[in-house]
Amino acid sequence: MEATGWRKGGSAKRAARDDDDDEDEDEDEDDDDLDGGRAREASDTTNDGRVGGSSRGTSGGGGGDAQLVRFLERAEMNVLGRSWGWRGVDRRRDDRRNRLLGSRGNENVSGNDRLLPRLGEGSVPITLADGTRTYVGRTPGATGGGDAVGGKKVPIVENVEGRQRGEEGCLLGVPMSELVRRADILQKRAIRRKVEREARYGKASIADDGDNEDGEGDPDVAHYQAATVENDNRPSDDSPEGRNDEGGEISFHRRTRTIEKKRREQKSMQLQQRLWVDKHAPSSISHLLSDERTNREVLRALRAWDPYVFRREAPSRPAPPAYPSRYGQHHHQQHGNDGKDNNNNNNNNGGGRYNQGRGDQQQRKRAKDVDDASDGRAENRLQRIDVRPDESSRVILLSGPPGVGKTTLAHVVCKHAGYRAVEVNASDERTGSALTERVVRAMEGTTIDLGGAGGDEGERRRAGKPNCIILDEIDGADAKASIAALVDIIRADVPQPAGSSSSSRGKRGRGATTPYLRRPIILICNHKYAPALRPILPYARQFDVQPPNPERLTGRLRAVLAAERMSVVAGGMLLRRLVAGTGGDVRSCLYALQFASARARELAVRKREREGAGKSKGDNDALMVDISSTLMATLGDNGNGMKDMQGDVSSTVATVFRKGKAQTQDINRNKRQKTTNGSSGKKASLPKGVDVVLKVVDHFGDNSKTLDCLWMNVNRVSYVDPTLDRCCSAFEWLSAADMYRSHKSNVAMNNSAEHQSMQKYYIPTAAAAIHLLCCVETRPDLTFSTRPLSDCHYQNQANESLVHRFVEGLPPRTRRGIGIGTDTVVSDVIPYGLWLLSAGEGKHALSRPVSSVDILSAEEKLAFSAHVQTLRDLGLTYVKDGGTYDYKNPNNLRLEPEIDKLVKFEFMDDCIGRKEIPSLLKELLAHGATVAALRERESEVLIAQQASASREKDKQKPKEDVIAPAVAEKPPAVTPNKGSNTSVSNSSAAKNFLGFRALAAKEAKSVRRAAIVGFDRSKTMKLSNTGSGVEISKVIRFKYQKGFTQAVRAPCQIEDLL
Amino acid sequence: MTMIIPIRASADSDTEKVEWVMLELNGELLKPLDEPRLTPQGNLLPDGTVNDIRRRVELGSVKFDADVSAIIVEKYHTINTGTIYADGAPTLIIGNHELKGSAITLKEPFAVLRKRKAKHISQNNNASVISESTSKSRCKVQLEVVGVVKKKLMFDQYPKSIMTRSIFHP
Repeated sequence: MEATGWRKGGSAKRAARDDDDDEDEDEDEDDDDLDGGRAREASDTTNDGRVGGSSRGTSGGGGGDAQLVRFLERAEMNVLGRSWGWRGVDRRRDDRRNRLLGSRGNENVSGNDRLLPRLGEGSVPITLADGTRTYVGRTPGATGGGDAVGGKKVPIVENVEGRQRGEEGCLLGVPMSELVRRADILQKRAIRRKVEREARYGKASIADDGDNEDGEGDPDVAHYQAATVENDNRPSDDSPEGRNDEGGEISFHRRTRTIEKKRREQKSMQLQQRLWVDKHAPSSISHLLSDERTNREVLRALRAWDPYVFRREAPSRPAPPAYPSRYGQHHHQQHGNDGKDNNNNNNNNGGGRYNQGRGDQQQRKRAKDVDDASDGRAENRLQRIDVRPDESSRVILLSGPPGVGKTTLAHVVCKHAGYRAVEVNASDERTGSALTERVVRAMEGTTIDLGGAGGDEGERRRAGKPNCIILDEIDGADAKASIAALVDIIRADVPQPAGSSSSSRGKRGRGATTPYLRRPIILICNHKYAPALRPILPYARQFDVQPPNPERLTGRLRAVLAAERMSVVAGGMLLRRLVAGTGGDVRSCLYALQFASARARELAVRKREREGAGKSKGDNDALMVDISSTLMATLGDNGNGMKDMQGDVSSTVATVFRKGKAQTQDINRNKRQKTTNGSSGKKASLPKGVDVVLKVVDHFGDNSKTLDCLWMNVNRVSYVDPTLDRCCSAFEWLSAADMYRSHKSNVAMNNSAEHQSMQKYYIPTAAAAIHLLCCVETRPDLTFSTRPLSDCHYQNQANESLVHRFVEGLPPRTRRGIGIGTDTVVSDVIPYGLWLLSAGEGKHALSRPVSSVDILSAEEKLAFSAHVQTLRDLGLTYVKDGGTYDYKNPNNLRLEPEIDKLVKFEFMDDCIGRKEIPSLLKELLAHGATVAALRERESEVLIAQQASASREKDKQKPKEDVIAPAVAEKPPAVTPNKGSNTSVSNSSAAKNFLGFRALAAKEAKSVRRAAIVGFDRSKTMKLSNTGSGVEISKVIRFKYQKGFTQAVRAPCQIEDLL
Repeated sequence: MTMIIPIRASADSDTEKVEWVMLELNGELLKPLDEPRLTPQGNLLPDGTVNDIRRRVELGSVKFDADVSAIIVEKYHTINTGTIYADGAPTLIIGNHELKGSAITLKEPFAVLRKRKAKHISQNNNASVISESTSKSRCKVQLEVVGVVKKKLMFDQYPKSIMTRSIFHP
């Protein structure tokens, strides 16, 4: 037997194993820890005796992967390296199983054929816990094995040899279940060796022994072995067959059990070091502390995936966990030709799926195939349409405050619904592509069924679970990209098979490109309305996980304490306070309890040692330790030790405004001190109230909220302030604090740690100042609604954005004059601009509602054009007001942007006396502005053209100057007056845009037109109509005057003649 | 007090030949768009007119219906390009306007005089003087008849505008 296929990926897998080593410990421990829970769960749900035979040949689901890796390693090391003598054992076990199966029914025996590999079938995909994939290949030569177990007793060794000579690229010639059994046997053998050695050398430490023997320094091995020992031996003990068959091993079992015990002790020691949060985590859905209804609903939402994942109808209400039956169906598909009997057997036979296989290259397709289009019959029933849950609830979103058990709920529900939870944390790499890859990988793969040989439901339930992806803390950093990737996956449809149900081959060939959601995803976040989450909300079924019921939580805490052999003498009072203080945060409750108990234990042990040193350590465990005193110390004398001030705005603000008891004297003394000794003992000189206020505000934590409340209340409290000095300084303090609070204050200050710390320290200080300034003796009438403030804030933001829009809309020439900040705009530009845009007074007033510009008088026309120019300069126009309907003037036009809103106050009704322009005229003005804008745009283009043209001209200009004197002798009629032209254009470009731009534009336009026609207008001239050849511009013109004109008869005096 | 101003006929006998024509327009004359540049060399001619052609400004041209030639009237003097056939109706082209008019014989002819200084007279003492000016040598001024106006061309109808075709000038 050659392990080349395995070795090919050996390095990668070894790396994966190295990663796994870290997890191994946890998982092994989890096995121990959770075994009880699992058994409970099983008994809860199945209500029959399946549990008894459930764990043969495999450890729990969690440890399965780790065991597999280790097993493969072992297979490489031991199985391949050694002789094949184990085959004998194997055969014995085969016989045993045959007998066992035979007791159920005869046809099952023939089903055993499926256990052995078949020719030409590829390999088995395995997805490990961390999402890495391994491929286990098989030799084609393994066919012989099929006959071997069928009762014919063909010498297997020959086959093995044949396999050794066989093709490369193949690995294990036998199914996984077979290999697992072999590993078990090896395991037992190793333990037996150990026991023997133990008997020989006495009571040496087993863990050391094991390590030495294995030649590995890895302590995980010990755990692993321990786990295996437990899982292996317990069922063997239970089953009479095992005792009969392996009669020689009974003593061995007895010995191993002692080892097991020792190991357990060792493990329990380790367990003490663990956090209670992990140790006492609920393992089944009935143990969850969170609201039962939420739990049920989440479970039901997850069950909506059942038709797709498990090929069965979703239960209408939560039912016992599902047993995946799709593997049997898959098997059926592969061997559809074999006949019905076989198919039935296979359906019973969970491990049979390993009999099929193709090349490694088909792995992906195959995994997909399992999901999409498996059995013809199953497809007929269920797979025709997209049986996944509705798009609006494809993923489940759990939201809630930290510590209420969202993650725990997700894990437990996953397990309960028959999934295997694959958690992707915020600490993992979560870029869009990485997340997509992980999700796709997790969706494609499945956990491997390590103990499928028995065809036993319990085993099957435990292994072969489909994955369920849990994305924890998705509202974390850079969530946007990953959320987008996720949404893409969710939205993708299942590629519909084109052919009939029988053409599964064709389906396999296509459509493997776009990933689509094949497994449920549970998202966990703290705030579901985080902006990053917005895209996924429509696709998520949302659940708010509430903090657990305080009574329930207290009860649970008691139970935990009892399990930890702690007691609280003070009764539930302390626990209740703890629960109330943490606000139902289970995690922090447990942390606090563990912290208290650790200290209590320490104290108790010290006390015990003082009393009598003779006590052994083992008795320490049995000791009931009372933790009430330490818990009290943890909570603090007044409960301030925990974050118990949450939500207590009222008391915080009341502390600020209420005068302390001994404070008056304090202030007096303080004044005296200040006058006598200036700076000495400044800390001591602070009045006591300041300290209290600082502490309270700091404890409250939400500085922003505090500040808001101070703002709201500082005018409500009637403190003694005849000169309003205190009021002034109070507002100064608050404004300064507000500056540090506001996030838009300054770019440099924003995001900086400095700013944060300023906010942290300045706001409590401001609160203290308010306290000193405004505190009153009696209980003040306070308000805690910050609604007006938030309204103001919102309005302010809206106004700011309005100003921003206005500034952005300004034409460049105006913006240049305004400068950088928007303050100038608000104070200087907008009010006066609006004044300019009012109707005005007198002759120039634009107050007549006219429908045409022509009707306007000359003065009004002037005002009109000035108005249009103002509109243009401010980038404004009039638009129809769609929002509000004013009955006075139905088609009211408003400014766009509405800068008049910025200076309009509700309580000041047109106090300036601006006159509104009638809307008819406004329409004309808006039209004029549009036309002006178009013209400006055109002329700008032309000016740009002209600038380039004048640049060219400048190049030619020196030449012209040289020529000019020579030309001067020629008659001017023929000389084109180029110099003057350029001077005109130059001056127009340099001068104001208003007057001369039109001229320049006209000129440039004619130039352009001439260019289109084919000649340059500047090079043409007009001659006089008389035909004299003189330029027309140099000829006297005549202006006709209508009517009778008197002949010019000037009086002549005689002096003129003299 | 009587004062005798000597009025001198042309030196030549062809004084009668020089016949001037008066133009009567219904409107006003505007100066050209481009004022022609005056060169510093522009001297006055001995007869008082400006020699330099660039000083000259074209006023227009008068055509008569039956006429082939035309006269070009200039501001300062008339260039005769042909004889006037007084029969046809005159057409004046001035600026961008074409004016139709009629020739009217004046009831009383006008004389066009040119004033001359006495210095000139003394210098041109040899010239033949018709009247009795020589006796009064004290008088400094002498008036010379340049021409006689017997006809006038009256353009009092509404003018017709002319589109001026621009010519390409390389």
